[in-house]
Amino acid sequence: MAQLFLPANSRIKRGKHWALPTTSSAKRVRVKDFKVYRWNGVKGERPRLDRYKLDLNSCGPMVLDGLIAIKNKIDSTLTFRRSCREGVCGSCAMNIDGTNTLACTKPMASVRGSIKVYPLPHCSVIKDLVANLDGSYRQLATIEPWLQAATEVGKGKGKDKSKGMRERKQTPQARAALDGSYECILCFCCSTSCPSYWWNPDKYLGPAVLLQAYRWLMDSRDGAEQKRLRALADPFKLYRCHTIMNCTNACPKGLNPAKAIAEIKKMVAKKPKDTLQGYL
Amino acid sequence: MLRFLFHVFFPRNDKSGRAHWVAQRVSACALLPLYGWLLLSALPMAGKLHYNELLAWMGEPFNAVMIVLLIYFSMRHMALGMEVIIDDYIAHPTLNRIALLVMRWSTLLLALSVLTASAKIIFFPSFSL
Ligand code: SF4
Ligand code: SF4
Ligand code: FES
Repeated sequence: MAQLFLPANSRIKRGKHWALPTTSSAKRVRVKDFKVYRWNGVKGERPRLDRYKLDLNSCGPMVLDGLIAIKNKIDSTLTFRRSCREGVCGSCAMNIDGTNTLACTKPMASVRGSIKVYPLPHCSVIKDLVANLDGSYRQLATIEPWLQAATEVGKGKGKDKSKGMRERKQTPQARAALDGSYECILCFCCSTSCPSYWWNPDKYLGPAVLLQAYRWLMDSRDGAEQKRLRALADPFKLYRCHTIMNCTNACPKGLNPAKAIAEIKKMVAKKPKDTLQGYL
Repeated sequence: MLRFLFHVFFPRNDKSGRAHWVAQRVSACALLPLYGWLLLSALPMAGKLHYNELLAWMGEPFNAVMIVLLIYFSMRHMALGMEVIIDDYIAHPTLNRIALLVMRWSTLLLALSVLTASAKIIFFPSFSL
């Protein structure tokens, strides 16, 4: 549901100011200012905005490097998710300088002034920069993101069930149809930047999940196309997308979920027979 | 009777987003040439025509059909658009149903009154109360 004001427990108050850690290096310091959203997970307590000062010469170039340096050298209670630190796991998605992106691929130098870091928008927060994505993961499961072939290829015979099994081959063209959707790392930067997803996160699937739905619709080896399309055709799961394109803007992998959603709408419209009769 | 009209204007469509999506595009495509026609034919007449001449213009069969189509598709397109806004912003199930119902009935009544007014002009241009 659209809301005009933040609920009381989401209003941010002023936080602590942390001093620049002293360094022994003789190099000139390049100070960068961080403003980081903090919430300790205690119900009834309001989130705060802590300020840190960091010497850019003392850490790597990305925002994630900065956050790690803060955690290691200044404030060990700062909590965030990260794993691969190279843009392939999707763990470190957060809102940096007003846009959803991956902290590990966002250079600190690309942010003018102080670096503002918040958790992904319009999610409940678990702690500090860790957003709760349970609902989005559950939605991903509903589109059945696995291969559902129409025919079995070389079913195993006799005792050894793997005997006679063959791989499912794709032509290079059929494989190319998956370009632009298989690269998605499910960071949910797109879904959490989508106003339609903010207002109806329980009923609208959101761009990340719809891009995955498209990925399986486009797979030449998958045989469940009609079933998948039918499952998407209700008024909310797919059609809350109004091509606002925030998702495409936000995607740190340069993908275009909005286009995939438009393609799904076209596929559904072409679907033979259904509820179109008597409708103009 | 009204109930029948209501269902002609708003077929049961709450189950399929597909029908709504297609209908929105069909009405949009229909409106493009209709409004193009309205602009091209009505603009040059603006300020030059007498009341009676305008009534006569609307009474011509082609113009009359175009105007009726224009009203139908405009109202239909408006209702489809309002439905999107209501579904986007009013999540509460009961409030959503009430808003949709009020919106649909008022669009239908609006469409009916505009169509009645046009019918009067087209068929009885000189009739007045
Ligand atoms: S294009 Fe669709 S999915 Fe993407 S941000 Fe807009 S409404 Fe959301
Ligand atoms: S489409 Fe892009 S932004 Fe969305 S989940 Fe996939 S990688 Fe992340
Ligand atoms: S840490 Fe894996 S994407 Fe950033």
